[in-house]
Amino acid sequence: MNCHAQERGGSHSDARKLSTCLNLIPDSYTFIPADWGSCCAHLFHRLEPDGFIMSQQSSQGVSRRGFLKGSGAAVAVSTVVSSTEAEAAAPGLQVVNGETSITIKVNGKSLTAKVEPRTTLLDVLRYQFDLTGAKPVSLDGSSGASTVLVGGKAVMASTTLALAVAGKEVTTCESLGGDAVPSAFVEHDAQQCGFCTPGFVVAVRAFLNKYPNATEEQIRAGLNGNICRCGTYANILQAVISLVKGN
Amino acid sequence: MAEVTYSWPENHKSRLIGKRVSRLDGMEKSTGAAKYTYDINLPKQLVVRALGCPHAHCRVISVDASAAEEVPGVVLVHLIKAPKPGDDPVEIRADGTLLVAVAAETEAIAAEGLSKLKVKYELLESFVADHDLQAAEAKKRTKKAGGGIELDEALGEPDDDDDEEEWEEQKVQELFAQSTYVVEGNYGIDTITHCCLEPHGSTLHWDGDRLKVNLSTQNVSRTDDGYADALKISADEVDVHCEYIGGGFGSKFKPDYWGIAAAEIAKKTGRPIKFLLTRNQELKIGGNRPSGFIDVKLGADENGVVQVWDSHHWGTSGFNGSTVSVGNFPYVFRPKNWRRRATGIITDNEPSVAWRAPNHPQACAITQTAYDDLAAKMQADSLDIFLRNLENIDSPEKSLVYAEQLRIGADLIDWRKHWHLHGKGKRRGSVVEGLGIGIHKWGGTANSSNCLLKIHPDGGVESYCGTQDLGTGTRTICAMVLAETLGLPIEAVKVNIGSSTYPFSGASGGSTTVGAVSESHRRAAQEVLAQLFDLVAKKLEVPAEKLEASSGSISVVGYSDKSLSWKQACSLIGIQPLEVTSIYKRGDDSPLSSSNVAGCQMARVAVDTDTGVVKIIKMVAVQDMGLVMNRKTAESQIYGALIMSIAAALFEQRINDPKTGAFINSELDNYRLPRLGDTGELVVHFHEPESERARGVIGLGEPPAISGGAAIANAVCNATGVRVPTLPLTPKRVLDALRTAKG
Repeated sequence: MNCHAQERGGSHSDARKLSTCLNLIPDSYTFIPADWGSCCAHLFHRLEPDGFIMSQQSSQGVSRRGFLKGSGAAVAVSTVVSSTEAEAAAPGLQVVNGETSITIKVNGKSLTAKVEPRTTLLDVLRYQFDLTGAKPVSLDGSSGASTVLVGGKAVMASTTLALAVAGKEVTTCESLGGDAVPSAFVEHDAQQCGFCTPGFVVAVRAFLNKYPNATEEQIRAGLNGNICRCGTYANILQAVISLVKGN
Repeated sequence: MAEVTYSWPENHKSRLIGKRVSRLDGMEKSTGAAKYTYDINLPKQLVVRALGCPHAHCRVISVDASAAEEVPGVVLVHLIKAPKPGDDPVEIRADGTLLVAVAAETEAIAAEGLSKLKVKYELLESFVADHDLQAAEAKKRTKKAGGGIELDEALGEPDDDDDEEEWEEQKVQELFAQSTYVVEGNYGIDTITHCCLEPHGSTLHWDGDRLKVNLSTQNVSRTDDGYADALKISADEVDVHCEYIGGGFGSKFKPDYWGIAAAEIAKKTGRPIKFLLTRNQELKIGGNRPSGFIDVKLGADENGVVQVWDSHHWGTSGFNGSTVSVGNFPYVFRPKNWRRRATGIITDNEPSVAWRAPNHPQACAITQTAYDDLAAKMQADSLDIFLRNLENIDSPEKSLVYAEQLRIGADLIDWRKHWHLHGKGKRRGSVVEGLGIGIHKWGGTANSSNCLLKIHPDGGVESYCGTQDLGTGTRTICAMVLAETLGLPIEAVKVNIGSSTYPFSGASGGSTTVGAVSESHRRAAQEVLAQLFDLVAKKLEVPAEKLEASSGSISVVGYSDKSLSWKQACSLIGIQPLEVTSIYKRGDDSPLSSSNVAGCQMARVAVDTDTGVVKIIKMVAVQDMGLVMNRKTAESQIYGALIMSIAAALFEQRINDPKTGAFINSELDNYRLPRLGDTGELVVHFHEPESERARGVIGLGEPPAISGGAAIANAVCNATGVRVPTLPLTPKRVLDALRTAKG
């Protein structure tokens, strides 16, 4: 967020104050799935203690080899690839090399994908399952356009490695045809070019799941993970208010 | 058949036009069913990624692609702007220029291939300081960009032996000497990028000698010639399709050189190609808007009416070295005496392209700020100063319209309640509030458009038009016009747009599309209906002019029992469908559309003087637009334009590293755009006295995207009592201005 590297002026207290004024990260918005190790935090927008979102480089550092797969909750990504040999793994971890088949439960259906360690969930959805609702707007996740639900939590498909969601439940905008959110978007014309819309629709669904009775203030503070270039925020706000009132 | 007189239905008879109609493709867009260029996956396609030049100014000496070619899954390495072995080096003038493309089985493999390219560069000195006129002059990076002078006839003419320029200078100085108030200021606005969320690019393939392109384009009907020229084929061998486009804003009118490269790669590999820019490349080369910086001196009489304007502005449009067009200075206002000149600065950046309301937002932001500084200097109400200066504007016939709009805007933002003199408002802790105004204008003439309308004997209705839906709701407008005219429900008409194989319709640029398709679809529908009326008249044995189409039937006016259902009427057509192709040419005199709108915007802001953060409390947009077509989508256009104005006023800017010239904030995490929580309360008011309806359709896309920047900048000045000269008004700039003012 506050953004311009060369212009980040002001004292530390200024910066703290800024973080309360500008894009607050909604606490409903899970950039880092809680069960993922901090070792893959470099793939995500990291929530700094003072409230700034720090962006790190995304999948550039991930190769087609070397995904350390945990037997339990721990999952790690190796970023250093020095040989074609399998890297040594700590006890309880397994190294995945090259292309493997995984199954992901997408919108209720079990689908099989061939993935390399570097393959993102977004790649799989768009190129293997032809689910192109999640959009490749900014691969570092700063636009929110690739938002999908994994196990009910909003994540960016562009910064989620496919191997990490093997066996998990993924919900995309394509399954929300009967949901109230897209209908409210249409009613309030909360879309223009529409390229950001699917990501916004999923983000709103996740937000309302957590805050079904959100106030306008909470909505304004809670949906800042997505960018719309056409400027449909006023309409989105109206759509979400109408959804809350409808509850 | 009697000759058809084109007209719009009267207000009380309209079922759809002017009403709130939900966009027909809204559900597809919301649930991912809408397929954009980026979403189209063709069987056996290759994905292309290109290496963007990492230097703003250099020569590319050589490319070693051998390691890239060995990556499994890399199919082709293709030189775009790079020398073949033995060729002369290629000079590059912009960070991000695409040098070499890699076609591969997946995006990841293409990216891996790129990482293996070895490119030799010779670095050259770069220049990117577009705000620094002296530095540009010292580096010989300037170009004259026009100017002129106009003095009141009462001042006479120079004698034959006078030096004209000296005489003019003397007169200008005399005018300043006679002025009660003289304001000198400097203002600026940085370059911003289009930043379309769907990046520029295509998914295409060759079908024999025929090129079939899915292109993210604002110009479906007329990009074929660009491909044809570059590929040495003819335009009839190119089909362009675009059902949905993820943003354009003026930047997507051509195939672009990477589009040509995609076609070449498809030819070489014999496979379909998907080639879209990365986010970083979209910001660097996908389109940008020129910057503008200005030195202004103005002189006003005792009432605050500006009598003389003298300005010199500069800025950059990239390496072609232009700036904001001088023709609109000062913006909307036109004192009796003015002198203005412009200097273009050649910087090592991608050349600019059209941006929503080309030149107007910058001209507004760097000249109407000077008018507000006049109010500050006089310790007068800014609203009064804007109203008084309406006696000297470039379209005098509009002055009453502006006055009315300013009054409406002032009511909506509660101006009298919140107004205080510049810098004299109440302070709550470190926070001060302020009000500001901007006013704007636009043409919005309908573009050329043709429409093929077919009525089937079974009652089916389908239309074909080579237009596109930028997000304004074009598809919905087409359906509304047809359904309204034919007396059918909107679902009963099948609208087809987005293909160059359909009848020609002009590019979507300059607020021309809703006017264009309204012209072509209304004409086609009225003509078809006249033919149908002739058949029905014969059948019912009544004169055709007594018939009307409404509620799914064609009936005799006043005798609803004497009617045929739409289906029955269409069965009279015979075996072949009834077909009409309407033709509307831009500029044709028409009762259906016209041009020239006015508007004003007002902003109320809060500024934290400790942190420099500016927050929008409320913005008001008052806009006329002739006949409102779809009230719902028209409102969305204005909301969106207000938010874009907030973006350019507070957040977005291209930042070039001063030493290397690199565009250093070309990702969305640091190219800041407003988010939902940054927009405050937005109020849209359609200014539509009955006289507006009679003007027919006028384009709406550009005008509300113009004056918000000036309004916000003026509101910040009103809040703090200090002019923050350059947009965007980042926290640092606000703090710097406050510190400078303190001394």
